[in-house]
Amino acid sequence: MSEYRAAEHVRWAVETGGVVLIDCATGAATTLGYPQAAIWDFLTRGEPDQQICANLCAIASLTPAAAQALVLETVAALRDAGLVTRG
Amino acid sequence: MASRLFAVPVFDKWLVYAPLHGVAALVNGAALQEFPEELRTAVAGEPEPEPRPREGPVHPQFLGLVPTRACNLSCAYCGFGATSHGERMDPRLAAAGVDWMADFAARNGRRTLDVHFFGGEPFAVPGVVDVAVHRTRAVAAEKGLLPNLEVATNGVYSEARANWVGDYFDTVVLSFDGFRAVQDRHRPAAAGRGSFDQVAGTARVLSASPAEVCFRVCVARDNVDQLAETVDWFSEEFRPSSIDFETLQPTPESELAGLNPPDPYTFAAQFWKARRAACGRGVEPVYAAAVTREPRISFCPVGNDTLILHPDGRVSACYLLEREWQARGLDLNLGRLGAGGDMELPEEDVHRVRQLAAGKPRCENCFCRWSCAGGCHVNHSFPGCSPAYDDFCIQTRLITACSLLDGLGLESMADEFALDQAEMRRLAVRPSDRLEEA
Repeated sequence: MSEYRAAEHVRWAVETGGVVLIDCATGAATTLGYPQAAIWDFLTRGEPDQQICANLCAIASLTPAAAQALVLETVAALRDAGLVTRG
Repeated sequence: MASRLFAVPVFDKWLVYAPLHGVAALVNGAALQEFPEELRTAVAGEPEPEPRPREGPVHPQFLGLVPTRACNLSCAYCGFGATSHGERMDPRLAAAGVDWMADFAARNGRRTLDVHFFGGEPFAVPGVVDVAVHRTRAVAAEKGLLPNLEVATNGVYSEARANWVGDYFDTVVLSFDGFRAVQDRHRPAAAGRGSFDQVAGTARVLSASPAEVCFRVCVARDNVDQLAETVDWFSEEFRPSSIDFETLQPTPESELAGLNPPDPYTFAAQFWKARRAACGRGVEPVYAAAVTREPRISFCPVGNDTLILHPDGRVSACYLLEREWQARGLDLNLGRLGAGGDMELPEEDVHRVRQLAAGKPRCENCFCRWSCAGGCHVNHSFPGCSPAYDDFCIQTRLITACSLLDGLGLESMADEFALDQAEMRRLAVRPSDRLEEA
């Protein structure tokens, strides 16, 4: 997971209820609410996988397994939308 | 009524002040002596009720979090007992505190969820802050509240972290004492290295961010004469919305480093000059003890039901070290928060801390009694403190008088007063400001 980074053509802004991602290539805007907004923050700051999951447990009151599943699911969705890339 | 009216001398006139009415006037001596009843009538009407200790259920304005007492600086005057390592708050405890505050805010019809971070240096444990910030934003969204996050920080961290702080915090109070020589002398990093370059870098990043930035300047004898120049430089280089000036609180560490508090008359005069410089540049100058907007019984979290959560789960009314209160014979603990989120705030403890805000005999006859409200309960107005005005009282009385004159549109008189040591001394040392004793 932590090998993913924001795609080069993506810019984002922190908003009251989460994060708004702008795909500069298409002009499309994607809003991430919580807890996905926290995953985006940790991902773009290069936090290690283990730390992302541990933080998410405390942020969203999740079990470690549920936190890991949510992170995997969120990263997959972001990757499929072209908002994150490997590397 | 009489005890709610005050008069202090300003040159050949008297500044009459009725803080509970929100009224000030400048009158001559004849008006004071010959028409005291007319003066009282002039400010008659429904005054604000005299501020009293709170009653009823706890009603905090904000939750304070102390993620750690650790700090990456070795400030010459630090009274927080900061070391490079210290107890670290369990992120789950921080989350439980945020949840409690969110429930309280939602139940009481608040619009905002207010969480403030203190230290040590909060970013000495960045992971705890990360969790607490995101938990605040998540639970605020869930409950339809606006997150309102504030942090008091030293600014010594990477540019990436500074960008994050600017993005995620609404207000950043940055401790920044001024020019390089002052900053490096007052606030050195470990091994005596200066902190100026990094703090100035953080100040630049924050200035370009959406956050509201407040600089907090510690004023000692060595920088008191350059406050206006510091304001000019801050305003040109950065984008502070306010600059807060606090005089050095002596500690064994500051004495060892040869740092001393400024002379109170010099501070008042220099603050006033700095205030003019700041206002001219659209920056709000702050001396917190001289804010006269509305009558208050306490100028700090103590007595205002603020809940400050410490790494060990203690909840207190004050962010200073427990041993400092204890040295003054005070107990400012309000209760405990368990990791499971169960908040215990025994009524008798809440009552005890609330009552502290009321008992300040030194302030009885002072015209600043409902604005300064006695200042810090630990360092200034502690039980058994001297009844005589000290340096903090003197500078506060002078700055408050200047502010009231300013409010009357008498700016040049305020400026002239702040330059006249003899006039300042005449006002500062009056044992009673009650109108009937003028």
